[in-house]
Amino acid sequence: MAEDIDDVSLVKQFKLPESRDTAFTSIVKKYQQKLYWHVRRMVVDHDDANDVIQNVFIKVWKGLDGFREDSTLYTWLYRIATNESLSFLEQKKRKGTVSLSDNEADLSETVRADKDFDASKLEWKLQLAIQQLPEKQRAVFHLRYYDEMPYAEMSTVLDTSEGALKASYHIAVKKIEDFILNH
Amino acid sequence: MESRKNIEEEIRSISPVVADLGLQNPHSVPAGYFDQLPGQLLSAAKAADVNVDEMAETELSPLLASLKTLPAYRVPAGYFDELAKNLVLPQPVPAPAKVIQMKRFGYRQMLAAAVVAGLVFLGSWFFFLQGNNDEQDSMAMNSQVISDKTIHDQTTKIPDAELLTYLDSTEDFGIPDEVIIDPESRSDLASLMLTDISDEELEDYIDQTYAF
Repeated sequence: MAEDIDDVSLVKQFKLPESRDTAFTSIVKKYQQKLYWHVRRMVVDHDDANDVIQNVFIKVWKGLDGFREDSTLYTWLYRIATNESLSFLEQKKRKGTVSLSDNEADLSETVRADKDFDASKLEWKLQLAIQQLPEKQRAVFHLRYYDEMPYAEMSTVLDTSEGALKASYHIAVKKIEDFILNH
Repeated sequence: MESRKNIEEEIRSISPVVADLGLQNPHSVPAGYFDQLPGQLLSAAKAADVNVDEMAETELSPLLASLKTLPAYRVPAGYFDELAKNLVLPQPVPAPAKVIQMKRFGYRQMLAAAVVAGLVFLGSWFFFLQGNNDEQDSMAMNSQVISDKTIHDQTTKIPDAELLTYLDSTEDFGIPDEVIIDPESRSDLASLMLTDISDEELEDYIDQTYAF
């Protein structure tokens, strides 16, 4: 199974022309769900998440040859996925000429538009609460709360100090608590 | 990966409310999405990697390459043989009229025009001003203040008999309109007129005039 092959071996196989396609497919199978859900939580909509994921793995295909292995493959993939998600949201904001606060309101509407949405259920309330957070703070919360990422790795993914990330996570949790208690 | 226990302890220390929510994910994905995704991503990555301009059509799509020589559309028989004769040649387009740019007035030309206009204006103003002065002079002459001496000089030339005849024939002893006598000089005028008349002559005159 792809999950059994370590990242170092996968990168080595990718760099060989004869095993490039196989290695790439293995990498996709190993990380597709983690990366997809990370992206999906950022952009909310499945079709938007699918577009972003395509861009993420195209960048992986083009950039893996130059991967210097100064971070783990996992961290490198998450960094690409986070940046692509943030770029997507930025583009969406520019195309619609909406302000930052309108963008968060727009994502909340996308949550409500989900066919399974049920305002009475706590899990949907949590999603609405998360969408109130600024983009980067949202990414911090997702990576820590859902992906259980250590702050040291998160620092590489988001290019932010560990202290700032801990503070950001603390504030995010408090904001979510406040939203759930007051709505 | 940090242990789940650590993550839970951390979040419980910040907010027990959020900690109790648990890892609930309400979103869903289409059935079979993750099964198809790897293949789709590999195709997409390879397509993005290819320089389509340099690729031969047979490599890109052998099917399309084979269909190239099979035309779908038809033309009437002999169409191209008659085409040259049937062409409707366009009428010669008349040459466009020559456009002569109007010379734009530069700064110097406008300045010269302003100076000329100013001179014309000043000349006209002076001309009318002068005209007004002449008129005023004429009017002044017609209604000039005649000095006492002038009156005296003129009346001494007239014989006394004529003066008396005139005074008898006219009731109006007023001074003509065109002659303005300075009111302040009336007493002086009388003195002037009587300068050459002695007191005896004056008494005789009064006796003769007012005898009745």
